[in-house]
Amino acid sequence: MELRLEEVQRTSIEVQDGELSGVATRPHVGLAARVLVRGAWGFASGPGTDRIAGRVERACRIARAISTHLRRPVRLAEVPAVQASLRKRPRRDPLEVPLEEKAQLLATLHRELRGLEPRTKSSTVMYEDLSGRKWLLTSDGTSFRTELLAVYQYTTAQGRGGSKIGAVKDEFGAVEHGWEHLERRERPAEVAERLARKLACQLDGKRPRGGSPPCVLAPILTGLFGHESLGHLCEADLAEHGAFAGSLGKQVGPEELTLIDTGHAPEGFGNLAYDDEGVRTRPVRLIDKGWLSGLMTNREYAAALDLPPTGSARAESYQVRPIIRMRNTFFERGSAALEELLSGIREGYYCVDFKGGQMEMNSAFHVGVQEGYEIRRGKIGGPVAGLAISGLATEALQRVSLVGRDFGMESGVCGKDQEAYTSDGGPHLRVERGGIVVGARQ
Amino acid sequence: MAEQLLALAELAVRTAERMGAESAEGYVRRSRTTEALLERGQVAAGELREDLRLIVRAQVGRGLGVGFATSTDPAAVRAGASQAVRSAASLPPVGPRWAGFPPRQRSRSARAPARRLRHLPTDLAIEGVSRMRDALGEHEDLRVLAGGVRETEFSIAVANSAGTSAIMTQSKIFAYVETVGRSGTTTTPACRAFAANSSVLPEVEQLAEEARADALEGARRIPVGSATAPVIFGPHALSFGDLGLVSYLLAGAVSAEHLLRGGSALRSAQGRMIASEAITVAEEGAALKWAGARPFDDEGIPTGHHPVIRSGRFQGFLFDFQTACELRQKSTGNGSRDLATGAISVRPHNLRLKPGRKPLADLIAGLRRGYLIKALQGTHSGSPHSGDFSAVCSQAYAIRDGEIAGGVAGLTLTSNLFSILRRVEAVAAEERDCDGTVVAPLLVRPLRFVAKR
Repeated sequence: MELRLEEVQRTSIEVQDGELSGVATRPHVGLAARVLVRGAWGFASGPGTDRIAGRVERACRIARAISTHLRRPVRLAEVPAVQASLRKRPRRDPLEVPLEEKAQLLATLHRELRGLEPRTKSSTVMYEDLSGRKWLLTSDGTSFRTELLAVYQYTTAQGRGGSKIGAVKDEFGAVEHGWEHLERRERPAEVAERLARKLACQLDGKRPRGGSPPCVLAPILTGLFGHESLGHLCEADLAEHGAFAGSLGKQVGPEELTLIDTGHAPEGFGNLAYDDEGVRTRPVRLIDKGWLSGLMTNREYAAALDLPPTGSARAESYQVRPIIRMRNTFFERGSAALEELLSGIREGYYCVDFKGGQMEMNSAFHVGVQEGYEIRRGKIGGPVAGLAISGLATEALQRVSLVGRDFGMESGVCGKDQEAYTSDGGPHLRVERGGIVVGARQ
Repeated sequence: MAEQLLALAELAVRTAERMGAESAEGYVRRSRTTEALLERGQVAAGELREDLRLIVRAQVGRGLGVGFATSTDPAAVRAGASQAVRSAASLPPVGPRWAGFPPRQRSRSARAPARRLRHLPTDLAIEGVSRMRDALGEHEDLRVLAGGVRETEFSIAVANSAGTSAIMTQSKIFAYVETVGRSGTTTTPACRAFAANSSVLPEVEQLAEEARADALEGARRIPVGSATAPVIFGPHALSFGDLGLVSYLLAGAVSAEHLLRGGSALRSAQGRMIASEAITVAEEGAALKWAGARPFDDEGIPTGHHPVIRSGRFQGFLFDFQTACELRQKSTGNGSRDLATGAISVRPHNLRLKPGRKPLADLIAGLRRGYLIKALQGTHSGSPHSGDFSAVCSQAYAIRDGEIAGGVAGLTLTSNLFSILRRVEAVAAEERDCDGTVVAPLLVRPLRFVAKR
């Protein structure tokens, strides 16, 4: 049996076209009970922290009813009990920053953006922070308390140039820093500069030609490629039935490729010391020098597949059960310079930033590229609008020919049933002809 | 119970007014969700999730503040009202577009829906998912990825200073199943079948059979290259949560918000042909037999029947109170509240594509060569402003001589929603309630598909 309690204050601020359009600070306080009775799961959650016995009783009643339909009882991997209390130390706790100060800073972004890209029609800044605590108590003896902290900003901008309409986004987040992250690292001027570049790309870019040309992926795209096309299929709940089922210990890509998921990365938005089952997080080498070598697990899948628990069980909030999630996922850097990656490509695409990515069980991935450029005779050329790349990871991996020596990560929110903060990244990658499909309008 | 929630909403409004708000709005939503789930191929888990949100919005001068409570304790309600007033007084004013709260709404029919609600106890959810599992059966090429039966019962109360007073209690039931087909080295995408209903359990055996057949047919992979071919879009390609040609691109394109911010491809399209004559779409917000329909929106404004496209001709946008005021129109009752921020945005409750007369089987039988696309991957990276998108046909089947010949992989479709709507030849007779949209398969004249080969 486990109990999860949360007491969090969340603040949301929305600024449209430089004007404040919404501010809300709300409590997020509640309790969840998850029980395993006769090998079946029961779960009950609700607001408030005062009805513990009632929630446990309901969860048990549900589990008993489920157990009459079970074919195989669920078992859990043994893990050591944890007694811990973890603190966060932001320079400026978002809770202590006046709302007026936050709103004023965010409102400057639109002006900066219009200054850089006058074709901007509209922008919306959606900022959120949270600060609070959560507790995990289990019948195995775990008693764990951690402070929660996050700042997150998602900005969209729309522009119009002639008959063209462009829409782009930018997002960032931090769980190790407070408000200082926006004051020092992700200032409105920097966000505006990124948005203006992407908007110009959409408004000035030519349409891509369809086919399967060579592509060079910049670190943000490399990270998304790793997350969507490989990472999800290395989550044990999906791995069982996905394109990599039965591939553990087999070669899936070139020797230069190593993909890691970890709960501890510099500036990682997915950083966490213990997961929501009280398991200490450990790094997993998902692909090691081209060989599929590890899966992310929770206690249930660790027991079922005879794998170590990796501390990958995460719940968006007390309201839902923890499921297997990535944390910070990245390819290790290689040795090639960007010029080498571009060299010899007569016609191809350089994909820098994305707007939406999605995966499928057969390893199909799809990424909308909001900042992309042509590659012509080994050089980066003009912008491309409406570029989307897709393919099967099982095939695309085999077509990776060069791994860059640089490295970059970016933060975002993954939406596998629930939302989870994650970081993804890596170096530049070159994917040869036949690895990636580029769509084109008829 | 619903009356008690209305009393809380009214208490919030009165408290905010007493504390200095010039006007205020109270909104309470209480929900209870029960779910039985298929996990690792068996009925393995059950859940009960309860939630209560009280949101107070208060206006002081040009300031708009929001306060929250997660308890029915009157002291918590007063604290939420106080938070809203304090924040309204101290924050920078909202923009000049803010139009205030809607005028008094007294649609007493909204107090209780006309239909009789049938509550689905947890035991029935468990029985439903168990029947679903049995109907899936066993097959060496079939993997059961997930499934479930989820029932949500919720009550909403809205009150404001203008005298709005609205309450409702509704339920919706959602059943879903996901399978994967595996044969040799071929793995299919997740084959999803789902349906919603406002009061009774959807046909779980039918969903299971659909997901089973899709997985097994998909595992019989047919190699294809780039081609131009006619296509039938299935219901899940049109509507899958917020992803889909109708639920994402069309719903966004007809939102007055998109008209106001960043433009819309439909901004000068009133009365013009934007689709083939086969296409008729209406927001049927008040047709309570559908899961997404409801008697009033989150501002308390009555929903209704609002034509969007009639026989191919664009009829008009959907509005909440704010966008309606800005564009000097009348709200269509499409205000949807973000429970995290309290903010209202435009969203269809029940966007219904009128079905045609021919069954899907006849449309398939009429094609010598073509594709049946049951799911698209990546429509959410498209633009509701322009309708442009590029997506992978993730769950797709080749049609040869009027029959499904097998699954196809790796086809990309780059197009524009309105180009597709203009090329629609027929709408199938089978409509599906996707909770927020009701859609039927579309037969579309040849489109260009790109593949690697």
